[in-house]
Amino acid sequence: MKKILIAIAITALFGAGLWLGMVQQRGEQLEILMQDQVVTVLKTPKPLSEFVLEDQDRKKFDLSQLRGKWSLVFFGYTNCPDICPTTLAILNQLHKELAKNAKGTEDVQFIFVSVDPGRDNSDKLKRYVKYFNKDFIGVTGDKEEIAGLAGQLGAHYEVLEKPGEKNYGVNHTAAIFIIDKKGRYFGLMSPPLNPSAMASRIELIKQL
Amino acid sequence: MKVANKLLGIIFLVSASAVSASDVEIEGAWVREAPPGMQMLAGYMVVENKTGKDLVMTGAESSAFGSIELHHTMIKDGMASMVQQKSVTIPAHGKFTFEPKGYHLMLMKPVKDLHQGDKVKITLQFSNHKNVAGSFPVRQGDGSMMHHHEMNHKEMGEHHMDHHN
Repeated sequence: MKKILIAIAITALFGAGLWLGMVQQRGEQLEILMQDQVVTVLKTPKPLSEFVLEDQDRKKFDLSQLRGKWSLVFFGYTNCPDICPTTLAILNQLHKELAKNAKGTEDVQFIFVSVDPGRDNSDKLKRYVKYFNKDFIGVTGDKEEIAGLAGQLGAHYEVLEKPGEKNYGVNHTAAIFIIDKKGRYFGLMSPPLNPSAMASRIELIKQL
Repeated sequence: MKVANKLLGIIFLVSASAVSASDVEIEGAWVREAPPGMQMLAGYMVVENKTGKDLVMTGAESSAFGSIELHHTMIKDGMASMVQQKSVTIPAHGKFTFEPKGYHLMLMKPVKDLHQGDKVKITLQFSNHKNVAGSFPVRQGDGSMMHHHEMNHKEMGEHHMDHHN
């Protein structure tokens, strides 16, 4: 029991540290305007520069695909048994929540970016993302291009690749990034991720 | 020496009888259904230790998977990472929870695709207790799956008492 309590205390501590750290770190560069326990919105949306990735149907996925809709972007990898499927299941819940509203999900797209192109290709990504939701988009591509997009969003990841070893882990940011209809970095949502709370914030944001 | 061995045997028998059929229970066990062809799954449960000593769980095995490891998902400075655990300790008269975004059984190389409704048997291994097997139903994780109260435990009853004489 004691160990469980300690684990909870540590988690709480990390949670607090994470939140403050994020606000301070990003505050210097990006000026945070609105921040609650669900979403953080940048004071000035940050235009993104061009990148070229490939979607699950092997079609080009570039900056133009991020225009015209709100985009929710999550970075991960398919060999991830715990946090990625958990997050994608939550995003599916969010999709259902948004679908209840008048405009539904027609102006929102969900994008899973695999940062592990060494093991993830378009075919695998297709099986993976469509399992969670038929509307989800899965993209990956050259390491440099992935790094380029992730870097613009401040999304960190680390592929712990070992030569000749197929079983390796990938550390990746747990946040979901929000990109507005003009293809600008707009904000992010950090864990814990609550589908109905996220849905209400997204509906609010869409009015802005 | 013979006397000593016999004594040892008696001690084993006494300790074996003290370990009743339900001194370690696996509650709410489940395996998350994975997209087709995926080689990496996760299993969750609450392990309850009804004994008076801390139990050290060192691993798990199942004929349904190539191998199983104990992992802990940690989110630190916004980064999620999985940290392999050599063991986890289930405190005396306490519980240890394996749950999404926390501790989990990392189930590698399933022998076949598993679907909701399937059940797999997974045996938990301890350094200071006999194996405990549980039946893990496969189901879809929906983001609100934490509290699924299903009791399904079964003791293996494989207590090796090697005291030949």
